[in-house]
Amino acid sequence: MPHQVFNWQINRKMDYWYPEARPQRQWAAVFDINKCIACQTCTIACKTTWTSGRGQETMLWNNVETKPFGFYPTAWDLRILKMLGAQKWGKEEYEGDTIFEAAPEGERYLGYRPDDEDWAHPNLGEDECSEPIEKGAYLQVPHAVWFFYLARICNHCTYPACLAACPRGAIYKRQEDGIVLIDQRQCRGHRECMQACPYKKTFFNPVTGTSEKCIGCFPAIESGMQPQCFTNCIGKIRLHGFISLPEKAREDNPIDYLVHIRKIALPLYPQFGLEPNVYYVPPLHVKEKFLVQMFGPQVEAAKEAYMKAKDDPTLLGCLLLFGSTPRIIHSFKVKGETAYAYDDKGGEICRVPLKEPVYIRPYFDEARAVHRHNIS
Amino acid sequence: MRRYGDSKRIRDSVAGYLLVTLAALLPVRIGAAQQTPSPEEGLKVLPLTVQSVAVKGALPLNDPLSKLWGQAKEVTVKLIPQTAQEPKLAKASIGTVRVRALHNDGWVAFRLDWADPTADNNLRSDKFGDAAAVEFPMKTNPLPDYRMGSEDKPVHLLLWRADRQWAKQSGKTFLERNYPRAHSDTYPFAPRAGEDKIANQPERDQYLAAQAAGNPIVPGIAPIIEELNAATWNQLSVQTHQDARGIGVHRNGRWFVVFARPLVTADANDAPLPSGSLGLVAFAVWDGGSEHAHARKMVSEGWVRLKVK
Ligand code: SF4
Ligand code: SF4
Repeated sequence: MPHQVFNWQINRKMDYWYPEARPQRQWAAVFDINKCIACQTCTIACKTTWTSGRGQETMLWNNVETKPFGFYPTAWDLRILKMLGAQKWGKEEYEGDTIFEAAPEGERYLGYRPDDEDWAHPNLGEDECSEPIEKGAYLQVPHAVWFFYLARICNHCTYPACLAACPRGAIYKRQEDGIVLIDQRQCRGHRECMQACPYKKTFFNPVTGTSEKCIGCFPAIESGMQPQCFTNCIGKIRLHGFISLPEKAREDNPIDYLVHIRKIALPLYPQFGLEPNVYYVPPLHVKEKFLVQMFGPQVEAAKEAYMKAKDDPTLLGCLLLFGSTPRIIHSFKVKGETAYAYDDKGGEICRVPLKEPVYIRPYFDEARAVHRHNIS
Repeated sequence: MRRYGDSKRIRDSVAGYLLVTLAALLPVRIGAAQQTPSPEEGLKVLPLTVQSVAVKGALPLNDPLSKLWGQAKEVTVKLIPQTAQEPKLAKASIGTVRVRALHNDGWVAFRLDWADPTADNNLRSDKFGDAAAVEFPMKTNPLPDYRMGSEDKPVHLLLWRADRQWAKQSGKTFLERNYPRAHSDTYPFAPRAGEDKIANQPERDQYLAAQAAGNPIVPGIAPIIEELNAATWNQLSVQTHQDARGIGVHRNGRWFVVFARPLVTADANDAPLPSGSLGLVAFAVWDGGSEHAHARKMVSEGWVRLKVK
């Protein structure tokens, strides 16, 4: 039977299968959607590190899908949104039902298990809407032509549905960092987690008969490094760290700063009620309605603050630290024209200039008597 | 809308590590819904007896269709959907299971048969195998809840799964079965033509995490009849000593499955069942085609008496 727990993302208490039990620190990430180029380097970094074995062929613990028409697995968010039905955000809190509160009689959650084929089209809808606009949109949709890339990994949720659902008790959340793991010794392959996770981030391995999921690169985390999909990100869209509760937010913790203080990074589908811990800077050019459904009612404010980052040295400095180091940044500061990143002991990891130095060379190179082109 | 105004529910946070608290908190049913059966129901002993018949010589451990089964008296046990624990089974499917038992000096064998028009023995993200289980109390006094026992009153289980039987018998993986044309450029440390298969085995095994971690359920490794102990819903352990035997056959829209075990073993985790004893037994059946698994199952209405004389 459910317990009552507090979920700060929906700003109220809600039903959860277990009592509230927060870890000492919570693994967290900020992804800046505006910078993602869908190169899939993250996907491959993860794939080659963790899921290149037998039975893991169609598993992408990290995937990047094009919204609005891309999904992995097919229609994952549309299906659960439809099952949940229309819900309402109030002024102060979410007034609708979470997937735990909407659980049918006799169930622990509201969910569904994708069909096997749903895992077979990770590139569905990729770059859709990017056809030459001058020919007119080839797809008639209710909104103007836009798309964006949504990079997704397990959210290492504070209230994981996968964990709540496991009848075997094989899923656990680590106290030291909040990483959610499926114990591969204990899992009996019942796939309740696949049915429960609304983000569809647990996968079935038909060779071992067990479910597997993103492990948050815990060996990296334990040695102070960011996960593979972060350090390999070409677009430098990702920052890993640890998030505090809103009332305990630290101004010098880059994750706290972006999520709690400046509020420019928002959780994915907070209305599901899992308190997911990957936070997204919403894409600037996308219709508000779509984004509110996906990231909650703070979207416009987040976009506005993000747009002003260029005149806001601390925010700009914090954003420039993305992809600047493979190590976990525990605190940061901006002084003058430089952003500094520090480890958990206060040691400096790296520094990044707020403005890259620019050198303008004359068009004509006197010494060599040649014109310089931008390739020379 | 269900919200936090319900005073019956726990409101206060409990500090601590979720993993550590799981085991302690699961059996506690707070504000249980009316539909949840009472604890007494788990202690029900039905007015039904499975009378095992003594046989001279070998038991048909690997032949569910042997004529010998004709010597045993058949008992029909009614099955009901499991509703003691979420997830409950919403829709009933297999209504009854027929049980016969034979024993000799060393072993007792049960043959269960039930109607299931489809033999589901595939394993894929969206496919589940048919299964059945026979359960014994570790002690009859005090009697454990037949619904997976409880922490201080554990039970002993024999579990048969059609998918595991397929893997054992075919020697194939479900990858080969479901995706016969699958191609992967390379698997890490996979031997190339002419290379020693064993050389990189430990490295290769790392890429099958459950297998490397020693999970006994891996298809092809898991026995056809698995022996387990349970001390409530999420306290399940696969036994180190796997003594059970048996096999299933699907014939004319029915499964016929033999579950056999030694009467007495040196294993402290086996429920003792000496010849001449009066015991108890309970049953569960899963219909893979209806996506039954774990608690989503059909169960007997209580313990059934068992005579091994
Ligand atoms: S590596 Fe970075 S930029 Fe490339 S797809 Fe992944 S998240 Fe986007
Ligand atoms: S995203 Fe899904 S798999 Fe990951 S912790 Fe949350 S519920 Fe579990």
